[in-house]
Amino acid sequence: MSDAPPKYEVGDHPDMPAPLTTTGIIGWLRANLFSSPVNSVFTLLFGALIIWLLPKLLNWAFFDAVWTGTGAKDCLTSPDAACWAFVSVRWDQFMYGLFPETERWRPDVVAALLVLALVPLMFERVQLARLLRGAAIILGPIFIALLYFAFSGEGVRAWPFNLIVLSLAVVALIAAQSVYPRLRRWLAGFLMFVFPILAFVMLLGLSKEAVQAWPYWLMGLSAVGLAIMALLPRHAKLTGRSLPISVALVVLFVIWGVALPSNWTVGLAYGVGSAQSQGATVTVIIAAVLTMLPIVLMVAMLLAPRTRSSVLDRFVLACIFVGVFAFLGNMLLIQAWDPVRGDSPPWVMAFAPAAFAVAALAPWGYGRNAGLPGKIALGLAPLYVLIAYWVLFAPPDFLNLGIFDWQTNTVPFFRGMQEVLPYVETPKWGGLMLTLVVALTGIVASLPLGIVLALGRRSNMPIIRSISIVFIEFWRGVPLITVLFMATVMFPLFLPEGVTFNQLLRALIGVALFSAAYMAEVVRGGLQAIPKGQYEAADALGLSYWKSMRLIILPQALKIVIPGIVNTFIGLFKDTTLVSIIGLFDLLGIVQAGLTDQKWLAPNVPYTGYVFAALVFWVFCYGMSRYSQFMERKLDTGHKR
Amino acid sequence: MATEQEKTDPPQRRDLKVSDEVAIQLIDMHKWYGEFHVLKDINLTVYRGERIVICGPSGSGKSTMIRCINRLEEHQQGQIIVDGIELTNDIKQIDQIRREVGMVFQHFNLFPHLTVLENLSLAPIWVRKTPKEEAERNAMKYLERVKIPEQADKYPGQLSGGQQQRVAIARSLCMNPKIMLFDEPTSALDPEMIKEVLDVMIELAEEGMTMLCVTHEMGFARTVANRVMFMDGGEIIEQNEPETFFNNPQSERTKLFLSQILH
Repeated sequence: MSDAPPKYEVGDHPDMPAPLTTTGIIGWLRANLFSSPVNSVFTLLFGALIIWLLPKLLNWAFFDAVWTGTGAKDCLTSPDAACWAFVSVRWDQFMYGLFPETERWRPDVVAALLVLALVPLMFERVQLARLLRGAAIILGPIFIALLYFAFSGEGVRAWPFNLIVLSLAVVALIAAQSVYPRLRRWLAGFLMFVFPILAFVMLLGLSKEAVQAWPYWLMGLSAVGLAIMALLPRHAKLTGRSLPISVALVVLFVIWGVALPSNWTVGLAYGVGSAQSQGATVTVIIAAVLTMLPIVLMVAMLLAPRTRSSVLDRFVLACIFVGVFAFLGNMLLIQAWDPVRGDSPPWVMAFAPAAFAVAALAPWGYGRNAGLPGKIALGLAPLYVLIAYWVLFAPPDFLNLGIFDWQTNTVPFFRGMQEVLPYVETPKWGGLMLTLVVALTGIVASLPLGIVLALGRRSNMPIIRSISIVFIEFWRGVPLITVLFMATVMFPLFLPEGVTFNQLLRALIGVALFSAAYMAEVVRGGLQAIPKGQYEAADALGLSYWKSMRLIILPQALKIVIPGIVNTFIGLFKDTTLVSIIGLFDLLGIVQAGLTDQKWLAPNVPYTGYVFAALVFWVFCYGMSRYSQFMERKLDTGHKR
Repeated sequence: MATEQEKTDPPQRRDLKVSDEVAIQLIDMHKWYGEFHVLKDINLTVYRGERIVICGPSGSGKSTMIRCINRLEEHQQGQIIVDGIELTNDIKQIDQIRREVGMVFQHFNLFPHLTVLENLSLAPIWVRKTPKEEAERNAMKYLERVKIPEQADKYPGQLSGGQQQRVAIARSLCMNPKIMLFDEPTSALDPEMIKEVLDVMIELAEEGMTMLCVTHEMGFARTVANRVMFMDGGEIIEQNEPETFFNNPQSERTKLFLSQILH
């Protein structure tokens, strides 16, 4: 009564502090743990449960656990606790499966490259100070732990230092990209176009056949590259606005021009030349298709109307133009000097220099309206291409630099590479490495495929809609185990005899298509949540279907369904364990295989193994879950409409 | 501003026929939604520079009619000729028309995941292939015209309804359209925000933009329109210059409608 609240004039009331019981620790406790009698009882019950359970858990996992040892007898010294010795002895196997010991640096390098490129991309626009503070808090203790591991055994171990260097490099890259934002583009480009090829070559290595067939690889790669270029939006295509694109184009055309003639000869030598070998015709057909594809694309590009042109632009175009003629000439040159087929008729010999001459002159006609710099660029381009051809591909008896070996139709450099990266067949892949390969391929393939299927299912075109529906409902209606079994048992029945198809590849395709169907429905949910007005606004502005999807609808739809997408990713990640039923040893499979070892027959070993596998899966899945929450917060522009 | 000019210079704005150049022509146009006959035998010629206000009870087909003009809705019979191009199923012609015809919606339909500036520069960059810097410079110019340049880096969700609608108008203008369609631009706004949007529209009208506007803002119709049109049951019942339309409506249905909305 004594301290009655003072009265204020209307409009003069100041902001008062909130009552103590609703803020601070007491406020939090009251609001969250003891808000009602029932809540209080539960708080006390769960508190008791934790107090009862936690020591047992800690004893099992840490205090009573066996940390070092070589077999079951060590584990039996403490049978009621974990036997981490089992995990530590078999660690390498759990990580790499049966990957040869001397080659295990390869998956390490691939993983390191992935982390280096992906992690900085995942954290955009982090403030530098905040980043360094976070790094110090999180990485500090980890570094100390790593240093302890480095010196704890006999001698010094290298891997903790590698991890330290890797994490510092990641932090440096994150910092660098906030200073230099274009770095992000390079990282993304590396991750999308370079990394998959690099990972493929690094992990699989080079077989003798792969080295023999190198022109096919180059052809295939350049064809894919050209297709990507052709699919780029028209204003970015060939306009010389983007240096990387122009450079890539020139490189691609040179590679293609080099690969094509040798491909031709290889095709002739191995295919038509020895027609009795089965599949030869197929090889020649594939070679022909790969040959035609870039030509068609190139013509399309040349004919595409262009509004702007720069010096660089003209240079690129000239290279392309020269490429067409130079490869014709080159092909004939090879025919002329081909040691397998002997000398060609004189008209072929005469045509080759003529083709080169046309190659050099043709761009001048094209560049009639170019200024002086343009003319210089045009003049340099044929020279550049010719030099590139000569260096790579000189005839055997004239100024040959030894880059191409005419006797064996191979490139000595690739044979050297084969010694550095010997072939490791996929049945030897295993452990966490295999799990990650299957999961990442599935994730990377299923999202774009799912988006296409979701759009297809909402298409106005009945045929596309029906195909999408049939695809989605088929794959969704079949258990993954069935898919994998079918891929193993049924699929070979449909293939011609003698043609085999890699077991891992079949599993990868199965998992990718399976999760694409799920992804499609998740994405469709997002598409349906976008108000009709957004489609109409995009239409009214004159955006084409694909542009309105890419710029307006999908960014919003995908943002809405991030939880669903990550849900599917996590499901996919855990479903990779099913590949063990078709004879591939993923992490869980290899742990289980380890349990049957006579040397480790102890009651606590299975628990330890399974807990370890579960822990590894949990770390990855929880990481994905946290990242999805981070993304949701980051992309939230704070409104609904 | 608008009102002053109206006093000094009304006849010019009130000219029934502003120019001889035809902007839009609807000839014997019909549209059905399934079995339902929404638009019946619509004949309409819009000359360049005309400001037409279309009113009528809800469900009368007025929105549907202007949505047919940029093919947000498909008509089934008759002809629609916009800027000399006939609307057919040809995607190229549809895209060509949509580039020339701007539209402002009742619910703004801004892109919530893009900033105001990105909303404005998106279509010029991707449809008109304008370089990014130029498109952004242009976008700022239009933002200044609708008097909210300071909101350029905000997201639409952070703006008030009136501001959002002004951004939507600026977004259409960025494409440099020859014709603007307004589909009830003020009916989703709080009363105190209607004026700021109408002011922008009045300014636009004074610059000679060809405008078709579905609205019930009769004050706007009186000030700006050179023709007011009344639709009911999918038909154009009556059209006239505003003075005559409001003071001396011809048909019974128009009289009833006007008595209901003017109280």
